[in-house]
Amino acid sequence: MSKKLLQVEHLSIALKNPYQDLVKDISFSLEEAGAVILLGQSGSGKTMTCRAILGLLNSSAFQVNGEIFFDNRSLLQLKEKERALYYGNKIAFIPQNPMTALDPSRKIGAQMAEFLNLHQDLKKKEALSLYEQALSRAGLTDTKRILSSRPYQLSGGMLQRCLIALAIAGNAKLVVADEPTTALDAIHRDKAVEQFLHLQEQGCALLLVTHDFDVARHVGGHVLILKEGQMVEQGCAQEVLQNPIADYTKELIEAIHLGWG
Amino acid sequence: MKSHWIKRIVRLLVLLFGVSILCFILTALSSTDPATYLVRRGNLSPTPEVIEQVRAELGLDQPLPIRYLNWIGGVFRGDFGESIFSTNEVAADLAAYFPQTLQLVFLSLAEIIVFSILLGVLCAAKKNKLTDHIMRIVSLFGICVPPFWLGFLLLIGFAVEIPIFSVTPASGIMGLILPSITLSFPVICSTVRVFRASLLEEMHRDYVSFARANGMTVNRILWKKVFRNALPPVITLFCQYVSYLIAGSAVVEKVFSIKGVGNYLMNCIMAADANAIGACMLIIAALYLLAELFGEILNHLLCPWRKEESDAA
Amino acid sequence: MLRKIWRNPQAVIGLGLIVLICAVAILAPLLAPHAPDEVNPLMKYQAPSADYPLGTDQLGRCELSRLLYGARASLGLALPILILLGGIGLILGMMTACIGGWFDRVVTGISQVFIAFPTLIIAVAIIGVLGNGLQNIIWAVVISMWARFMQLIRTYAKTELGRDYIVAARVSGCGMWQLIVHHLIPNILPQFLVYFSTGVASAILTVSSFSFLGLGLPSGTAEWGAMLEEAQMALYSHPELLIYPGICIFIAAAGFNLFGEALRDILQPQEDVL
Repeated sequence: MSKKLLQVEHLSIALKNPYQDLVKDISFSLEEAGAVILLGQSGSGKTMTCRAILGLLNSSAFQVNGEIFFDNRSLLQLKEKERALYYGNKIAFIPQNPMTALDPSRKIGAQMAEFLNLHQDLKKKEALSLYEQALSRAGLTDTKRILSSRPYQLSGGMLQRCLIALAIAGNAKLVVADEPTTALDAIHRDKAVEQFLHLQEQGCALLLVTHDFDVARHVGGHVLILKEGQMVEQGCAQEVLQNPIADYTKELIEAIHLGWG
Repeated sequence: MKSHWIKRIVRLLVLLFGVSILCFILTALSSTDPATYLVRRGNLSPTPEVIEQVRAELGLDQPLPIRYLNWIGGVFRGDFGESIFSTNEVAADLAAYFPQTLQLVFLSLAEIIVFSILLGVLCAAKKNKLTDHIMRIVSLFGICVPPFWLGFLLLIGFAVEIPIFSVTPASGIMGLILPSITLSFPVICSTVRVFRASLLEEMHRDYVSFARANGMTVNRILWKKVFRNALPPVITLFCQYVSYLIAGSAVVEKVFSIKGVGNYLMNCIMAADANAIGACMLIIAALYLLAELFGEILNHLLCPWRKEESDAA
Repeated sequence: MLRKIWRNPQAVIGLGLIVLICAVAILAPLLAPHAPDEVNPLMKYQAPSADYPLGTDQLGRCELSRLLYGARASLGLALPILILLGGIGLILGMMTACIGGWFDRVVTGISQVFIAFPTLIIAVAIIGVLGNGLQNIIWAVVISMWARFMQLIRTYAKTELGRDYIVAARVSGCGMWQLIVHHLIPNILPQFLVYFSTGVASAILTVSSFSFLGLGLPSGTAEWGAMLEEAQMALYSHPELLIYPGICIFIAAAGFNLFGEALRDILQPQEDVL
């Protein structure tokens, strides 16, 4: 059995004021180069789970219980300075909307070089050329122009590849993608899924959050179905999506077949 | 993008024209007739014939559009006419009074920029903590306090009770410290809150959580990303305040007995000095429009995306 | 909404101060121990006593009585100013937002010309034209401040007009007038109240600085700004005469500001995430 990369144990998240449960007792684990898909409607707590793993939940507003281990290290106990050892380094993040993920005022090259410099001891030029190589590996050709563009000058699909390239340049072990296909049109969606599969082939584990059953089927791996913060069903993607056991999953799949998905 | 700035400059010219018309109308409508005033002051018996003669000499008997053209033509040559109040050329009077006021205004502006930026960042970083609450109370005080009263309190405190400064205007920077605080304090109190709100709004943006998810520390995000993107609203305010401070200096100059433009303007009002009032109004309003354009250019250089957003809207 | 106001301590304090100032303004003749303009040359600069609770000023007038009557002058100027401003702002703002086209451009252009002049400058010039007097000072402040109110209402009305419910109402055959009265005004009213309240505060400050500069009011009027101006010559000997009127202006402005800002907080609760 291959090594566990990410372990989420009895994770619960609640809003402090006014008190409201957002995620209740979710556990799963992810192996190296494996894939876990969190599937559910909006409000099912999948994005919250994602933000907890990425350490984006402010402790003054949220109460987080349970444990999250990465490489046997608790991510919930990280100090501010230790964050850079994991986030942006071994763990890469692909956000839902690539259009708003970067600082709108600065050039993409400068921003990305700054991110890479947080984790690797590079000169600015070295960081830029490293990122430029990653851009072409992510399938972009016009790399020089992209580096000197500002985010609002590029399309959503292009920006998403720029973010994937950041994960490639940083040699990420785990890519956490929150609804990466929602902001894209159909053609870009398929291309993005291929990108993720390609990353996985190169030994990168995937944690994918989506409400899109097609994307889930395409990527495969382990699936968790979430409803109102609780897990209703889990298992191998093909299995769960073909022969669902829980009523909720059946309802969801039926709804899609009726064209309401 | 180019067409945007061309349109912007055309708008500036149209507004400048509008401003000059308004200045002219207000001075032309003045209830006190400058001719009568001159005649009375010259100890001439104010017979209607004499007044008519003086009116003709001043060009006041011509129709309004001609008078406007005469006036604006003079303005382009730097000639604002003669001040009734001081009997000097208005341009010479302004040259004499403006430096004092500009010193005061720029010192105040420097205080405003430095303190609103520093305190704004401090409040945003310590949001809802003790520092933030104290600043909130202080700034509420600053917004409600009448500026001239603040000036008196400073005088009573730091010139009468604890004599650090003198009550009569001192020369150099020492004489400007209390007046500039009086002028800048209420402004700082409102801009700090604008900047704090702008910073907090930027802190909620996606790029902040993306940078967090890439291991950047909160402080670094605040200074390197959020700070720059939160500046435009306060830069717009700073630019507007250049001319508002000149106007506000009228009150402060009275409190601290400084002989500046504000003081001069008040004397001109009392003397119904149309030429001088028109000149002061025109300069202050033109300065406002130019500073506004300057602020827009600065904001465009800092955050080009904001322009794209407003163009789309 | 009302319940939220009662639960907000800042709003309650603000409202309390507003009620206090209004009560003083209305009841001034009953509360004041003397007439505000009762000159008594023998009683100059008296220390506080039972007869003169806050002492007397340079003409032997009762300081407390003048302060109480000052509330009348302040509110009596600030409220009509704000009502006029609100009316002009509402009408022009709504018209520009709803009619649009060249009308919008022209009115907005004119308002931009007015905004280029600082309030004080334009008001000073207008008082120069109209001469001193209560009505003139009201018009001067209105003319110098209408542009801001109008632009504000216009922006709000435009945002509201772009919303889905307005589009839906128009599609379903709702007339323009009906739209304004039934949908637009109720929806921008809360924001309008916020600006009305803080606007009263800034009008109080503006009016007091005008009378401090000797503009507008007939001399000797019991008004806080004018009292400060008269007390200026007693800076060394009787600084307390400079302090009292300032405190009054401050309290009046604080009441309206506190209430207005609390109202704004209630309307736009701040998010506390991240």
